[in-house]
Amino acid sequence: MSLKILSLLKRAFLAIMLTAISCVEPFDKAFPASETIYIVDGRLTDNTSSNYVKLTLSKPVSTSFPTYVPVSGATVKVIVNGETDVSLTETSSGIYKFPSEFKGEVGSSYQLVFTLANGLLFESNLEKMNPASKINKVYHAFDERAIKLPEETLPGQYVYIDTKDEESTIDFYMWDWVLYEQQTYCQTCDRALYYNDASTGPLGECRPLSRDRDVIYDYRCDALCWEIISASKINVMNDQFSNGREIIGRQVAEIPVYQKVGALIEIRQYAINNNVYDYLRLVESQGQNTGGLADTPPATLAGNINSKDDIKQAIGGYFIVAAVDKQLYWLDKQDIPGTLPAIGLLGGRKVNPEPVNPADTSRPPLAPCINSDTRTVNQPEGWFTARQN
Amino acid sequence: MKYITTLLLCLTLGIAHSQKTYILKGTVKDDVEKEPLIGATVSIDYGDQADFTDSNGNFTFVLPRKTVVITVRYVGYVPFRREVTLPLNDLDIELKLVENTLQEIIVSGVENQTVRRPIMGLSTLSMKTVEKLPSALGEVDLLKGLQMLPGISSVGEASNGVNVRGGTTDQNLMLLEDAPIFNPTHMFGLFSAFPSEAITSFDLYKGNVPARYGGRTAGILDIKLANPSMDKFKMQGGISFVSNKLMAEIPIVKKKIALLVAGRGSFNDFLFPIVSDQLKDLKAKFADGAAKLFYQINDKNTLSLSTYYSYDFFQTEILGTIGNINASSSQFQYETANFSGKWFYNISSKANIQTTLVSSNYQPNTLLPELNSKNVVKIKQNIDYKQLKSNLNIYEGKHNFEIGIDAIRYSINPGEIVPGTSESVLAITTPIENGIELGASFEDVIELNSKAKISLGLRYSHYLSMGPSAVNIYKENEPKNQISVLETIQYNKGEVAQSYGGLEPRIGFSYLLNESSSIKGGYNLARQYLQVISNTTTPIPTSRWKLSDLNIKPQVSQLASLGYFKNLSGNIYEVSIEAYYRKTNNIIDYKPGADFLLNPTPETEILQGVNSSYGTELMISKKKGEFTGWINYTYARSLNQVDEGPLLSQRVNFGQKYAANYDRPHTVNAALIINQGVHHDFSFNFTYSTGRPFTSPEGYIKYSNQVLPFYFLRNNNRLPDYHRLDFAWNIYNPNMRNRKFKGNFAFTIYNLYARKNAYSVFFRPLGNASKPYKLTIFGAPILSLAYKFKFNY
Repeated sequence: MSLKILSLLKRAFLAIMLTAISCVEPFDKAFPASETIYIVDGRLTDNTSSNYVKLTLSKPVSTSFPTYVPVSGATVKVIVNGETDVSLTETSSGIYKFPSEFKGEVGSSYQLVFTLANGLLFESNLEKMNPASKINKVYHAFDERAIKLPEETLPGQYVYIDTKDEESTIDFYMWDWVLYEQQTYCQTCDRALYYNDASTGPLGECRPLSRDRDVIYDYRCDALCWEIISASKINVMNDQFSNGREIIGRQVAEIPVYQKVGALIEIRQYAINNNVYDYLRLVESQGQNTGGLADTPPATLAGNINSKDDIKQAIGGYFIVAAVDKQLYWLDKQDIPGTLPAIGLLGGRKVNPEPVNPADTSRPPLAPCINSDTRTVNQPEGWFTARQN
Repeated sequence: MKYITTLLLCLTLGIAHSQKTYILKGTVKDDVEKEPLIGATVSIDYGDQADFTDSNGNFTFVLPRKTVVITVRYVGYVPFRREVTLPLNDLDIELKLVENTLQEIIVSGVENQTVRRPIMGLSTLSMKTVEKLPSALGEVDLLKGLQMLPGISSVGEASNGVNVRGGTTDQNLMLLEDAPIFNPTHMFGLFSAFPSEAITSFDLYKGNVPARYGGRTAGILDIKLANPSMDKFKMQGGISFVSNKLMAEIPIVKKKIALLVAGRGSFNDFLFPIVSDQLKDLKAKFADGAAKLFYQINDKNTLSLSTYYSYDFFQTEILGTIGNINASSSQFQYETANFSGKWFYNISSKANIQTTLVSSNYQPNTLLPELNSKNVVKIKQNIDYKQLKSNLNIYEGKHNFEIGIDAIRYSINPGEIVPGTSESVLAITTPIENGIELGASFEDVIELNSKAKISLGLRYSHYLSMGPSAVNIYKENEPKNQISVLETIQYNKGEVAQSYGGLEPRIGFSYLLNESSSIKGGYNLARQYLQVISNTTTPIPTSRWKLSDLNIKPQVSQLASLGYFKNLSGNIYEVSIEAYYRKTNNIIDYKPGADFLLNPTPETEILQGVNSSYGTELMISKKKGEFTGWINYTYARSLNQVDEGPLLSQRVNFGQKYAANYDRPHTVNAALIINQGVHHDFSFNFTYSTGRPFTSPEGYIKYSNQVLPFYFLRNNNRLPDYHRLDFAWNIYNPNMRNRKFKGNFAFTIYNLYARKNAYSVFFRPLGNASKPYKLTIFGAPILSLAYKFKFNY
């Protein structure tokens, strides 16, 4: 048989296989939670803006996933250098904030201590704040396959940084980011129409359609509004292979093509310690780097919080103390191919504004931009200047 | 109109032609006794007409065709099938008794010797059988074939080796012409790296291990390359979807010197981009080759020189990335270069001596191309193995002595960064590990009487961990880490830093209960000084190998086994049942998040414990006849216990027993080969096993904007059961002419009923949940066609 025929056959078979094989698919089995876990998500930096302690209880219920209950009414404090107590106040359910002018100082040590309403006492290890090195350069590149999901890949932009590592110390890095994309739609009504007038409150409301139809309408914002998107991936590194050198081309973010207009990204570089690094590496290998051919066996995520009252109580999360360096970067979208569709800011759903009725020009109404964890009406710091650069 | 006339004419002629009849007469006899066989079934054209032979063994047919296929069957005899041209008045057909035929398959032990030899757990699957079995993508695969035997399993399709009776993959010694192979697979387990065409035979010892073998605790796979033909030039080759192969046997000086060369090379990046979107970034190619020069010096001396080379390259993220080096992709490149020279001296008809020099070199590299740069950062590793051994065999009356000595020198480079022109990455080295393993063995196979045989073997093994090295002494009973270091001792070159060793008894016996059945038993002890340290489901090609030292104790395994063997119906069937118990001390497990890349103190990430494995293997095989094959059932467990101290970081699963990654309690394997004469055969494989253990979450936490699974106990759950059916159709020399050049086709369907067997189940954060996914390697029927040719000059 000639090679040509074989090569042709080969292609034909491979084409058949293309349609028949899928490598990763959802596994149709529930793994219900059976353990009650206290979750501590705490962060203290040398910057006043991003410090908080968030307490949540993961409670098993009969369905496959647990419910997450904010832990309210706890007495939360941080002990500075083993001497001074700084009390945190609960600003919303389960979220505790430091006094507004309080920030960590490089060289000081901090311990988180909190007592729940039920009297259970929790303590963190003593955490020392290390100095953060500066981000020297931020840049980005478009990649056809930047976003790797278990079942598909999406195009997006990689954001990279360069930084200089300190030679005299063993350094552990953590990066995260916040992305501000301009949002034009502020309200969504499912099988309903939006009203924002004297009959409603200032936020307006969705009122069910007179005839039930399977339709979702989106309503424009009445002012400038920004969507806040935060990093959900752990990104850590140590300098064991680059001590004292320039760290070049560290990928710190992968941003899907939300919109074709530019956006602002704030990159944060933290100086974490060895224990945080080890913890986050485990989080990374168990939460993100799974699904390969040679995964590492999972292990209990033991953080730096424990309860002397109940040593068997499962506690997740970490109280991270780290100095931070922040850099704003204007993520222009000019390198995105023109033909590529944007996924939008509505969770992948295409915008569907309520059609204009020439007979009733009062509709559709505009909706207010309401400040939340994921949306802000305040122009992000540096929006203008970063854009100019 | 003209056409219609012609057509009508043709049809009329056709009918006239078909109305003519031909006679077919013949006799059916036994081929040895030459007695007529009465009542044999004779059928024409696969049942178009059929009849029985008369009292003289005769049959007669009047047939409307000039050529027909005649098939003759008789109970207990091998069926006869042939195409004949009529008329034919004297077709003499001689049928062979099934039990007089050669064994088609040999699955446990040398032909008919299984019952008698005082050795247990020796699996000799013939290479011919492996070739007939269905294989994924048409690549003849020794390791996949072995997994059809009881007691041999793996963690799944992408497994970098096999697990023998509850052992880890690195507890097996794989020898190709006496040289060890540290990475036996291509493409991360998808294909065996052995040059299948050049292999004539192999032995897999999973029970009693002869005293001459040492250094590994589970199985020994001893593979031999064919001796090249001394008088005829022969060539064979093939092509499949994956690779091209070629092998040649070249007599250089007739009856004196001959050379065998075999090679295989893959098509670049052959499959992955098409198979799955996930694998689009994957680039892969591989090659392997072997050569053997055989020199018949004189009646008493022969010399053979063998070499083996294997190369792999692939770019992938499915094996993880190096988090602390910034690169645009991860590439793996690894190669094996082995050499062995064997001098065989026949002292007399009762004694001979064999001296072998072995060199084995395995070099895995991780290549990390830097972003926006032409520079590639390389992480080099290397295992250098040199061995000298000599074996004296003496046959004296009822004794059969073997005396051996051997010495191995290991030199391991655990990792070294070659930064190239990188501005970020430092040139970092890890100290070279040096070790010497010495062995002396004595074995005597004694025929006590006509029924009982005993094999007494004793090996003394001694290991020296050599300087230069810096050895940390840690506080006793405390977790080994930087804080618990008491002092560091420096050893110079040539100094012995630590030594281990001891006697290793190897005992086997067999007792014939009667002509066709026997019981056998055995006990083995083996030590292992070199192991893979890898905190992954199955080792990856760049996993680190580590020699024992003061802080990492050698693994010591003891195996006791007992079995019953029986031949039935004139050796057509063989039935066996074997049970074993194996205990291994100082097995290796890992602290959470263990990372050994360029780690100068791997002992700080390692925990040592005990493995207990036990099982029962039941096997029935049919070795002769038109249908051959086997079916086996295995019940086996492999449990680890790691408890170095009371702290969480000193134990796994709170010090309780837990299932090993490859613990699969129930396994059924069946292979069926339907021999359809000399021109083709069909074969089926079926395999079933309990899903392997994995760790499932017992809670979930929301942390860092993602939902993470929260784990407590390791391997607390199991993947769905694994099962699969494969089919192969082998066609030999389809033009049926006896030429010098013969071509064969093998058509295979792997995973015939498209079972999506889970290789792993993993969790990824998705919105407010952590979603389970399953990874399947071959989730659809994999069709393939391979072509092979043979040329004999």
